[in-house]
Amino acid sequence: MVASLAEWVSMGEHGVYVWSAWGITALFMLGLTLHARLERRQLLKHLKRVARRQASPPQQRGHDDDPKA
Amino acid sequence: MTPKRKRKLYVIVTLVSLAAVAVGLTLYALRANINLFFSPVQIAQGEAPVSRSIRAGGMVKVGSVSRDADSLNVEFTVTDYVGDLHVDYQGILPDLFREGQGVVVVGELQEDGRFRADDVLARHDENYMPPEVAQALEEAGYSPADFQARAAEVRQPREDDT
Amino acid sequence: MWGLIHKLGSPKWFYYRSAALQPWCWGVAAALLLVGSVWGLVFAPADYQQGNSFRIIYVHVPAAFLAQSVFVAMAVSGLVFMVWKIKIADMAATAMAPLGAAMTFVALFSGAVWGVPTWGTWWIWDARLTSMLILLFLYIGVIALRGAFSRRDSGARAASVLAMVGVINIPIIKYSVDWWYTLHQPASFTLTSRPAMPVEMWLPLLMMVVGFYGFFIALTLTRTRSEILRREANTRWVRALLEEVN
Repeated sequence: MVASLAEWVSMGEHGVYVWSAWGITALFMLGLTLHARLERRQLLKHLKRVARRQASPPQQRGHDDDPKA
Repeated sequence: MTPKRKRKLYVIVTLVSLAAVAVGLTLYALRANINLFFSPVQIAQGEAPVSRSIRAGGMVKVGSVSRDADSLNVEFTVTDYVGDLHVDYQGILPDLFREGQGVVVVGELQEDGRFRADDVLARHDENYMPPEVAQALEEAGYSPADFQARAAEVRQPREDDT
Repeated sequence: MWGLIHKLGSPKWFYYRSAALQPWCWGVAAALLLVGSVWGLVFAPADYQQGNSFRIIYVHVPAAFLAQSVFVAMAVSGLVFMVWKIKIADMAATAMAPLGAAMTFVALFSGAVWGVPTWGTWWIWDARLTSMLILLFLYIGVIALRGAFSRRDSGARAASVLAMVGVINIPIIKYSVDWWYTLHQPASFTLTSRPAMPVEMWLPLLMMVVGFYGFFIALTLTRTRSEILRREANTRWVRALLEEVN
């Protein structure tokens, strides 16, 4: 257990090492989580747009919306 | 060049360079039979080259460390419990450098069989414990260093087959 | 048996089945990671030799486990995809590759940062560190290969082959510390032997490891579901689903 907040943050001279290692880990895990959410939201939006366009008269259907992109 | 071919070319170039990097790194690490260091017994048997930069590793023998009072000169013995290697070093030792603790020294083996180290790296073992436990062990008659050395001895079947 | 495989291989079946599972995985992972982090950073004791830098173990070891497990999962998926032509295996492999690369980087980075106060160096070309760096290159290779082909099927096959070949590196990583002299110490945390640390240090580590695996499952589920929608966009069930969501 730790005595004070400042002491805890400094990690007994090892603060830089501990916090940078944990920080990078947290950054990557949060980044991956947010990316997965954003990816899903944008994909749904995109697919709906394509579906709407295909439902309307097919006069000028572009190929720009390749779902792989 | 069509975009398709261009892309293929990029793929091939990327793959080849990746493979080259991977193989290169492997070979780099393979230099000394993939082992990072020579053990004292290997050096005693004359397996290590003299006057070339090599690494040696083992345990710091308990009671062998002697520091020069006026300079940063340090002398200690690295042991694998079979052979001993005498090491001279000048500089600051890492925090975890302790008697009974694993160590890797980088430097040159001298003609007289002593090792002149340019660099000392602490080699940690896989055991962790809180300070109180270490203290309790000490009070019970083991020094933590003994405990670590014993653990290392028990866990070192590979010493036998080399 | 064949019925089950076919069901599992059906993107539609998988998509609907995983919908209920997914929030649970995220919840369990988040809870474990939160509790494990607080425990590891605040309540777990410091090491008698390393002091507080020991706390890096709580991210280093789980990240290194995941880095290797994800690659094995990718190789197995590649095999399933190549032999049985089950497309969902390839979708899962696509979904998990960036996580594996990220975890490999995290393991390397946290290890380097940990090496400075413990070993006295942030990098050394020993067998463990080098084989782990090669794993990072393998991940980058798999991801790049998949994106490099204009036909998705070719990219998928090439990525599968590289994953299957590259999996050779995994046992090398795992046993490097036993086979050769390395600066890196042998494993502290294994499922087969007594842990090399007392319970109050080991339990938070166990929570973090399980939490990381939970995160892996949750993220892979979510991303595989996105991948299913992307690739099955022109099927009737996805269109019906899109209208439902509206």
